[in-house]
Amino acid sequence: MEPDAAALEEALRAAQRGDVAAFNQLVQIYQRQVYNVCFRTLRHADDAADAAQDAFLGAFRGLKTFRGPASGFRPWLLRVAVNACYDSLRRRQRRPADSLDALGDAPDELGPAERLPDPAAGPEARALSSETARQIQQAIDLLAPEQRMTVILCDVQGLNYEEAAAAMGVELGTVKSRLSRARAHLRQVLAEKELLSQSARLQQQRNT
Amino acid sequence: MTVTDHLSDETLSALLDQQLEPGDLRAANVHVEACASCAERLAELRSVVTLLRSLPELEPPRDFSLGPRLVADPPNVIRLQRWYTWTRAGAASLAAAFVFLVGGTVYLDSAAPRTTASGSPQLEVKSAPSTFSAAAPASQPAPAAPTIARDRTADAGAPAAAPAAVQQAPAAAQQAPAATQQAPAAAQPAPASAQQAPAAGQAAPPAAPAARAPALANQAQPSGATEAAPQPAAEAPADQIAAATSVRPLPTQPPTPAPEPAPVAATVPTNTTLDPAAPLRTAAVVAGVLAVLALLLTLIVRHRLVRRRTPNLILE
Repeated sequence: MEPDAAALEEALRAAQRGDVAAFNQLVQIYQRQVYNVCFRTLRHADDAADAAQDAFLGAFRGLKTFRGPASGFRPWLLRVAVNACYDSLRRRQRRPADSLDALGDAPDELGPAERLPDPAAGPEARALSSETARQIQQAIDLLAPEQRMTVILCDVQGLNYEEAAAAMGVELGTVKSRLSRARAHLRQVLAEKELLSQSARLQQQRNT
Repeated sequence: MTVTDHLSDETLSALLDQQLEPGDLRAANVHVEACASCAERLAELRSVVTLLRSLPELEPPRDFSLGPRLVADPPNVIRLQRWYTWTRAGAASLAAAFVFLVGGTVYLDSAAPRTTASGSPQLEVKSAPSTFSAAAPASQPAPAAPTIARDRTADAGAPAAAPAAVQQAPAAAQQAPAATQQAPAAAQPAPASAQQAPAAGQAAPPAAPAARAPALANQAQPSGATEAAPQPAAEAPADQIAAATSVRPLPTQPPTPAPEPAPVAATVPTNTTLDPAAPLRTAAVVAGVLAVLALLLTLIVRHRLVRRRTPNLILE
């Protein structure tokens, strides 16, 4: 959902002058992606919504510190979201009762949104059973936070290396190495769950 | 091909994303063509990425647009802000109190000598004990004259009179017999004589040393023995010169009181003004410590406030 550059630029500059309505245009554009990053990182619908809200609020307050072209806004916004997620994770560590283990495999944990087929998602999304999605998400959860974030930004959200580096505030090489380690780890876990063959079938389906 | 020649995870990952340099890309492709193991890993990694990409996108549970309520600070920030306001005000007022108390202490310290010099009664009464103690050592070097020393402190009873006794030494020495008998009597009305002391001090300077002694004796001994004192003093200055000279080291013995009356009045009270200034000084220390603590608390609250409001937004 990339808007045309001129409209984005205009809304961005207005928002930087404190125009809430203009900033809310940007919210409309990016909230889906921000929320998804937060949800994939935090695995908890309420926490993710809170983190996303924190991110937009923080972004609005800190918008004056944003410099550079409008094309840099999405990574910048995601950076704020990533930090909001890390804040949320830190808070969760302080309250062990709400840890990921406590979330467990409860069927309701994903909320209604994940179980309903998403009309906007591509055909392969609908091809993935919710059970497969859950197992993939569990594999992601096993990763160290930095690797998890890299995989979510690069592979789930499809950011390129530069954008991911900007969103995480790290070097390009760091993104590369984190991503490769995360993928290698996921390859092992998913191979044990025999999900990779399923993925291969999926690819074959698409190719034919 | 040996195992060590296999492509690294990083290379395979970069190969997937077409992020390899042209040279590395060619080498990697050649390797994957030849190495079944690496080809399989590459295929599996590709499957991983495919699976990740096909995770469903979730619909946000609500609209994150900022309303007027949200643009206002969230409750925790408001609470922090309130804390910041209070701690800052507390630190400022404690610092102000500290400054005032220190100022007051310094003022008392500097004002004290002036008030004693002009004969402020309360200060002189308070300083009396220290004149006693200052006079006490004087009796040690000259055992012949302990009575004089005691007498002097008894009838002078005040710092203003004590230095005067330095010049009165000859006369005082002559008074000794009479004074020793009067000492008990003089000791009882001590408060009274202490209050009279300023008068004696003021009266003393214009008078000659010899004349001063009777005057002192008169005022110090209202019990009626006044006549006894002046008589020996007037009678036998010459007789007692030897005694006076032997006594002379005695009054000059107290180091600071000896030279002049005025510095004595100045030096003695500096020790004694501790008393009026002490509560102020304690309060100043307490206020200072509290101010520092409040300042620290303010800084901590401010730090947290700043962190809350602007998450780490700086982009490299």
